[in-house]
Amino acid sequence: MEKLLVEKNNEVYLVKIVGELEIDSVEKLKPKLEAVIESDRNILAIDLSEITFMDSTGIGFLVALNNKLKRKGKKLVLVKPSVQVIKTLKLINIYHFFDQIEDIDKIEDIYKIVS
Amino acid sequence: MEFVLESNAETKQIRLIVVAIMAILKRLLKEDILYDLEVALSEACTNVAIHAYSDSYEEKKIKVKLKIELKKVIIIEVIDWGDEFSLPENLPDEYSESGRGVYIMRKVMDRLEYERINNQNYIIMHKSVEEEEWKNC
Repeated sequence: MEKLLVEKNNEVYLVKIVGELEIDSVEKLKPKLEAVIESDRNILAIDLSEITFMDSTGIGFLVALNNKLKRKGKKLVLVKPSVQVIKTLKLINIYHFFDQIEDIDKIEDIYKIVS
Repeated sequence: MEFVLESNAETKQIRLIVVAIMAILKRLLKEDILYDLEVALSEACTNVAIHAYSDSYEEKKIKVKLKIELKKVIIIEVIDWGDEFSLPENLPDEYSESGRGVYIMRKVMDRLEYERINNQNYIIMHKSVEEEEWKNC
């Protein structure tokens, strides 16, 4: 089961995914996130602090999001990935591939957002 | 002990199969080793849902066998009736959006085998489990 919570400010689209990131949930999430990718915000921050399970389908989903945003000159930031997310990312040595922050309130300082 | 689950290889059922098998294993094993087994099982089942059957197949089935030798080993077999395939050897680059499942299965399990028997694909995974990683059962 997955749940999607969305919050926006001028520059950042914050999406929180709650639950699991595997084939069933990723198929449901993909169409919901298309609108986010097409939005005029420059940063998509995905809060993964409440992901309880992720496999390589979840990794593929994050990589695909990152690729799409990059092609549009935008950025993907993972917020507080859970222990389970970190474990899976580290299994295939892709942990440092993604920009990550622990505190969403600091995103504006880190990415020098002028609003 | 041996358990067998058979279902359609649709994405919804795939997750339910993984959850059902893990419910059995959670009764027997401590937390630390469960993640390895769940991720390997999820990868094997997902591969069946995505790759095993081309559109020409009317029926898309998956069967999972869980074999447990208490205090010794867990063996998981994932079986489909789809096209023959070979296991990829390498991990794709960081920008690739798929192709990591078999690498993960090899990494978390002790042994991964592929066999083609009577027009069926068998993925067979072994995980040795130390005595202290079993619950009192």
